[in-house]
Amino acid sequence: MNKIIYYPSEKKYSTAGYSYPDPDNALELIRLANNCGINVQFNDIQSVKNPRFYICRGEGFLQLNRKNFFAVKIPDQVRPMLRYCSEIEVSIFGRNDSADTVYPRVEQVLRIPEYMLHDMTRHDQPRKPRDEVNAPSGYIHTHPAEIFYGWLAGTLDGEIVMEYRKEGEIFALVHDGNTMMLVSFFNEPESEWMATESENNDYPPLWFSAESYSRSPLYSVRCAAEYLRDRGLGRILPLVILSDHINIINARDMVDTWRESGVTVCYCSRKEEFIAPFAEGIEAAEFDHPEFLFLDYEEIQNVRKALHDFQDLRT
Amino acid sequence: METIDDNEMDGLCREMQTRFASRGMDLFTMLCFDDTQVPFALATDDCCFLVDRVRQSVIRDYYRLKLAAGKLAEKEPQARIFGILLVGSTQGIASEFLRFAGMNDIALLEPEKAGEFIEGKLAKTT
Repeated sequence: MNKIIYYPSEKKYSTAGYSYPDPDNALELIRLANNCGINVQFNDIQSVKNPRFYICRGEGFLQLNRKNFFAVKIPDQVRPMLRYCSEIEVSIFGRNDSADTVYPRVEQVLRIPEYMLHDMTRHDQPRKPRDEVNAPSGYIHTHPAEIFYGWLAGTLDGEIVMEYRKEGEIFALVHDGNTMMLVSFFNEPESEWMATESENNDYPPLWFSAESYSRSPLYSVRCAAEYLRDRGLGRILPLVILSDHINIINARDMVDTWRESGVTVCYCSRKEEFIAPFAEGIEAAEFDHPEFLFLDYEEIQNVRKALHDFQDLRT
Repeated sequence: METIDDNEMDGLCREMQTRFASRGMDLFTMLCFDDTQVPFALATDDCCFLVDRVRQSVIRDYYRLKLAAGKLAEKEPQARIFGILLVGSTQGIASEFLRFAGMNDIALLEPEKAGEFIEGKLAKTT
């Protein structure tokens, strides 16, 4: 069992009329331990009913009540555990019970939109079917969006400009400080997929598994990228990120089609002959498209507005 | 997923041979296309039916048969190539996939429907 004792420095913020920390509800994350399987424990929290701990976008959040969250800074050495291990034990103690030398860590009080709590919550309740991936036991599945956002948070100036969720699909406009990216994620529970990218009778291209099918994750980003390009907003990298458990059995046949469509298809961290991890894919795309580099914040806002219009057209 | 065993494949192979002998169809067994092997095929001069069964998964075996059909099409560009992938039951397979496979000339069929399928295609191509 890995144990990491973390003693962060004190920082104080005031939001929505509440000031943290204060003697009654000051909380501190003093131990974050990994033991194969999510199991969040809370001990001796004063003045708070049913506190919960979330991992979201690579960051930890402590929910005190319906609207108030503490952002808990997760030390770098713990991040790989959060990503790949299946149990995290979080012990939180009231200030009065902890050693004098340990200071409360309350970095920020956030208001997190409701939608972020649905898919991003990790706890030991039964998972939704979408999370039941065909993976070896002991492996906890992490949504590729969560992994990507975590990576983005680690970049110097990375930012999620907008995120759009519909029918289980997630699309995001982000930048890593260098390049604007339009990202879609593929996170179906089945592992084996056959990709197709040709439309049939005005039906969008489909990806097939043995028992189900899904609209090609490339299709939407490709359409959105074309829509933007038609409006003179072509300096954007379309990206599809596959969960690492997905096997595209015809990737060899699809790679040229993907390349021609201008969409970079990546895994989170897995590396295969035709599909690289997103960090490598982005680096290669930035090398191939130096014209994408150098962010223009006015352009980002124009893209954002155009994407809103694009979504309105689709709905 | 119900699969077809070796005995059923052998039985079907003999049955097809008998059924289509009078139509001038030749039977070929154990065809090799690079690293892909197809148990048997029935062929006329301008039409060929590659017949295989699901062994690993519907998707993977569909793809394997599609590759074999593609390789045969390269060798016999004038011939119409069809693939028949035998499954114990088509129940549980997404209808969209069945349709997609059909559009690519690969039919996912239960064994008892293979003869009828070949009859239908022969009627259209002759």
